Amino acid sequence: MKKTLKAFLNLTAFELDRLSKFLYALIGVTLVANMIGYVLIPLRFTDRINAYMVQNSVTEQQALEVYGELSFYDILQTSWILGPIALGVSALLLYAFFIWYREWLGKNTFAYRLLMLPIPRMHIFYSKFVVIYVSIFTLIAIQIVSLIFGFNLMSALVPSEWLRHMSFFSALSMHPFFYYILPLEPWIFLAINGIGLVFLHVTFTVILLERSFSVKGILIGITYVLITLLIALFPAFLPELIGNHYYLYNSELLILTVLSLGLISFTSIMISRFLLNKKITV
Amino acid sequence: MNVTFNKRDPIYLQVITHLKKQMVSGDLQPGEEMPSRRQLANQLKINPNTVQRAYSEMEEQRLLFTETNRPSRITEDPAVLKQLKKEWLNQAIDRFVSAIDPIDLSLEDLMPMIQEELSNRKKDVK
Amino acid sequence: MIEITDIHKQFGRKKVLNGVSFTVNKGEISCLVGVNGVGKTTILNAIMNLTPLKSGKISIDGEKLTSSLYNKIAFIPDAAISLPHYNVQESMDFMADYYDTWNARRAKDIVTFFRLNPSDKLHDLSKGNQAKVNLLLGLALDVDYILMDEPFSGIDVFTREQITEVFSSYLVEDRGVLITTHEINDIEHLLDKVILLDEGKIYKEFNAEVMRETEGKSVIDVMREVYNG
Repeated sequence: MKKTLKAFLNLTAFELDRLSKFLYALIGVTLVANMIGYVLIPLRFTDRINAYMVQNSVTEQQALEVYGELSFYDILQTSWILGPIALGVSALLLYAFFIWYREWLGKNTFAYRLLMLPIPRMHIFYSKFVVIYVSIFTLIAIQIVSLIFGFNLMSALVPSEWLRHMSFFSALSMHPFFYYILPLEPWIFLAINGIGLVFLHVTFTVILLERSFSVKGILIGITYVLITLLIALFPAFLPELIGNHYYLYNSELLILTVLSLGLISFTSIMISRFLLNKKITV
Repeated sequence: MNVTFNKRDPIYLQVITHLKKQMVSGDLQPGEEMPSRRQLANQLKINPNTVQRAYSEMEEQRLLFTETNRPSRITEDPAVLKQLKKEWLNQAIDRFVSAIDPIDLSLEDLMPMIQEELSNRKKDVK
Repeated sequence: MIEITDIHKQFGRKKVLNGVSFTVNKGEISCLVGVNGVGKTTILNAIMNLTPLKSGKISIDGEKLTSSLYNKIAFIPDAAISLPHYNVQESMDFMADYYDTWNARRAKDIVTFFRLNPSDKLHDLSKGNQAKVNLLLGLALDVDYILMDEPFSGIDVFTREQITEVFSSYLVEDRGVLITTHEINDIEHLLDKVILLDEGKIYKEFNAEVMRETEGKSVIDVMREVYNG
């Protein structure tokens, strides 16, 4: 038991190492873009106010009435901030595929080595899974730190009378991107990550189906995705189906949803295990 | 040690012939220890199982002997050695005679030629 | 003993293996021969549980292959399978991390024998040296069985000679070795058992030495009979 755990940690560290350059690049892009945004937007704002005051020889107050005060939200909704997040999400989504396919593609078929390791093959599955989640959380953590820094930077760059007073959290909550991605509301955050986890399990399963049965595997994979979608959405449509919106409490519907997501995860893991142990081809 | 094996005769027989030649020439002395089957296999670049087979066969012919837990050794039995030399010579003469048989040549003509060849060879060795 | 019993394999409609059975014994060098595309590699992959079979049974010392048996049986495929950005030493360290049977001393011997440089990156190596690294990573495991897929393909003469030497060395002694090759010339004098595959079946299985003794035929002679009609 101890030995397999050590092997698993080894493998996870190994996968993390392979991903690190990619992750550093994402972090780098995020920080650089954010920094530009944090500086550029306030400077442009103060420039504009100052220019307006000089051109029209009006007071600060009048200029602000025209342009409005700057809020952190004005910075958040620029692509300097949203861009890297969208990039991170889509890059990790792509990486979920790449993390498997790179073992087969290219000059070296590393799949041979991985599949012939004297450890349970599901270790490969879990280590890839963990690594993607570690990256997601790393990016989120970096984003939070960056935002806190950006908030303070903005406050330092712009005179406080020119700022609309809005708290850090309310600025973040205003934008759906942050509302869903950052841990602002514990339940939302949990739900989003829960859905993400199930989604990743299903994605891995589809990849393994393709690796095991090639073209036929893609068709089976699409069918599987449709079935999981039906199962996942079933609780939401249940009130429609039975024609009674008051039959179940919302909390009961929530439990049903959690159960159906759990079922999907569990089935995906079972299918993946079967494929890795019995059907996979190098 | 470089031996080329032909691919149609059993290799263990070719190994035996090779070793017999060394015994006849004195490269392998009576009582001398033989390399282990792996060492010889590695030297000749062949399968250890083949060397094993050659050794067993030679033991059966009493050309080699093995005391328990010791490496195999060349026989010290003079009768066996004498027999080996005789056999070797017989085979060589047999091959030689059948090779020159098609040519019509008397023994008197042949003898000086053999002598010359022998002395040439000795010169080469020196 | 590796026991292969009546295995069948299909790629789409094409039957690749159609009831193949044979055994690989410890202390013997066995060789699967046959023209390209006859299913030799598929058999090795199947033994290692790297491709599913339609039917049939494969056992290793009586057991079904599970991941723990990878400490007992090693496969050296005909493709580089270490990470290209690793150097030779890192590739060995990777093996040492996971395999109980990794023998660091023997690995060092092999590195010397093959004249490899531990700090060379794999993607900088010649094809011959990459093949040597592949061999190194398999041979340094203290396993009972070694499978090698086409160890000589696309390799220069001198590397080939060096690799051939492996087969008469202590590196394979007492192990059960199964090789596939279509370049039988280099190794036919090293083989114990020859398994000739043709059209998804075993056409003939024989001991090379016995064949020479009883019929005066080399392995190539027998192959010629099969593939030339």
